[in-house]
Amino acid sequence: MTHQLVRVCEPSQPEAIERRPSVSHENLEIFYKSCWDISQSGTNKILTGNKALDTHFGGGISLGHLVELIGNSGTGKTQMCLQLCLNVQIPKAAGGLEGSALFIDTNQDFHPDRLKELALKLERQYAHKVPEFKAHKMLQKVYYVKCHKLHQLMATVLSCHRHLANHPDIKLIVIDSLAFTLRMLEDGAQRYEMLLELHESMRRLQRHHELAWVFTNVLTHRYVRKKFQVEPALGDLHSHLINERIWFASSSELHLGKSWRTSRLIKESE
Amino acid sequence: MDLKLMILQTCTGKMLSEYQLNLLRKNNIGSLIDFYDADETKLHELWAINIQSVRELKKELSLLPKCCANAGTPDLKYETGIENLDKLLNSVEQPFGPGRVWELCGQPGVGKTQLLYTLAINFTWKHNQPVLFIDTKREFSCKRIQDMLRDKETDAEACERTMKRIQVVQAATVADINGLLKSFDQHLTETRTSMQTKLVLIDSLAASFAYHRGRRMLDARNSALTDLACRIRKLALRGVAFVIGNVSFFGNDKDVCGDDGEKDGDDEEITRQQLEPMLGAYWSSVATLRLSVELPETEDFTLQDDGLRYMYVISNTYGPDGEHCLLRITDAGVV
Repeated sequence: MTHQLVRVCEPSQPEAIERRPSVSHENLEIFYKSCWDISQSGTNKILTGNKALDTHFGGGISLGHLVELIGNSGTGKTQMCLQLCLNVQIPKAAGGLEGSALFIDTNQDFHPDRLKELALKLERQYAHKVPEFKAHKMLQKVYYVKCHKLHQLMATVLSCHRHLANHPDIKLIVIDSLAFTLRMLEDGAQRYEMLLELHESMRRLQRHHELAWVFTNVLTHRYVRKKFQVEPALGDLHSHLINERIWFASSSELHLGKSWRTSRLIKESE
Repeated sequence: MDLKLMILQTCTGKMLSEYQLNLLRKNNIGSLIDFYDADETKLHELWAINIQSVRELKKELSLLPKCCANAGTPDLKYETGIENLDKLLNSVEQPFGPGRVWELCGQPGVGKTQLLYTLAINFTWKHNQPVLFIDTKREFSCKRIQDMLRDKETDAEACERTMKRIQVVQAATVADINGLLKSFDQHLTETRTSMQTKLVLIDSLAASFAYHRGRRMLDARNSALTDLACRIRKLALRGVAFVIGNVSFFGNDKDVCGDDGEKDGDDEEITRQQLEPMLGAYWSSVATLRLSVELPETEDFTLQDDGLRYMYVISNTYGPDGEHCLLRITDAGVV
């Protein structure tokens, strides 16, 4: 992985906008990698801690993905976010990524105490394998940014390449919650614009660094075909642009799929 | 072998435009023999080139190596490996074959990627040729391919062979895709017959256009789209088939608002609106066949997914459209 400074066009300059999207200078060797080669390359997954989900994903959330956690409040989205922040740090000796995490908090849902509890649990779990994997060290490796307003969130996401230059081992960035600040905007068109801007910068960062983005979303009502339907907020194009969507139900069951109708229950027994 | 392709292989023929070549068919000149029989002055008038060039072209055509005739027979048909889909395609007179450009539309989560994976696996399986998978969302999952192969009960060796034939490449933007297709074209020119890849899958084109938005980017978007269409058509002429994933939404609100939903649905229009693929009117004419994967309509929205999907032909260059068939999404792919 190269740690050179990522060139990011400032979106405020009109001439920079004209230049986007630039050609990423990845090699254009097309007959270079087959599916088999990729499957043989090393691990790049973050364990979710949910056994069924991990089996389904083949070892957790892939780096390079945008994953959305969706559900009503109190169904365990934030819990999963915190767990992921810790799981990304599992040492290489135990088959982990030994990375660190950045937690972007928009609705002040971050509890250090909860994180500490989870860290202690994880410490006990790995105590026999890697005794030096300690809870207080884990807490040091979760970087935290608070963003009350949308412009702060935008600025944070846009400047993530700077965080990554200083901490190249960041493998996971969490936004909890993505929908919260975006939905404060009254103007639909503006919100849409901001959302796509976020998507673009998230993807741009992934072109230069191996990392996963995890964010949370909420459900909303939408009037379709003369009926009210419960649907994910932030729109259809957003659904298309993300890689995975994990549904949290109150019964602590997890579903996977882009829309509720096509989603599948992830069973423990699999 | 197609007359058009043969003419394109000659020096003089390369100077002719697509329009001029299409004139041939309009004047009932479909095969090489027809072409030789055609009057020189007639061709001269038809194409508005001088008689000298027409003679030159005929001479060059006769010198073309005959061996290339087996490179791509015009009747060569591929199978999608999905029984219902093959039947549907035969009934709309557009079976899967070299040079086809297909578009696959559908709502997010409806199973487009699963269908593309199935096509990739079936193609390498049946025709023993590699496919190129262009991935715009960094989504390509070997795990899913592996799982599908396992559910098909393939042994480890065959599984490995299939996976080695699926080449994957990441392309984040349209410019990347264009660059890829350009170098693909170059490969094709340089190595000629050794090029085996005859099928390119793109998942998903819409995602790579998400960053072209607003009035300022409209021109850039149109130019990139035109560029892409040209490259695809150029490769299609040389016998490469394309299946391109696109996304479609209900209604036409896709460009204006990020609909959180509370405020829309204020008019009756939405209930009658159809699924609309992205990328606008120009793009809709590029593919020779547009397929749309849709969920069966039910009144009960709490119903869980049973894997049934309707596949509609929404536009078709060579035959009728509006037909549909039933597909089922399973763990082993689409059947």
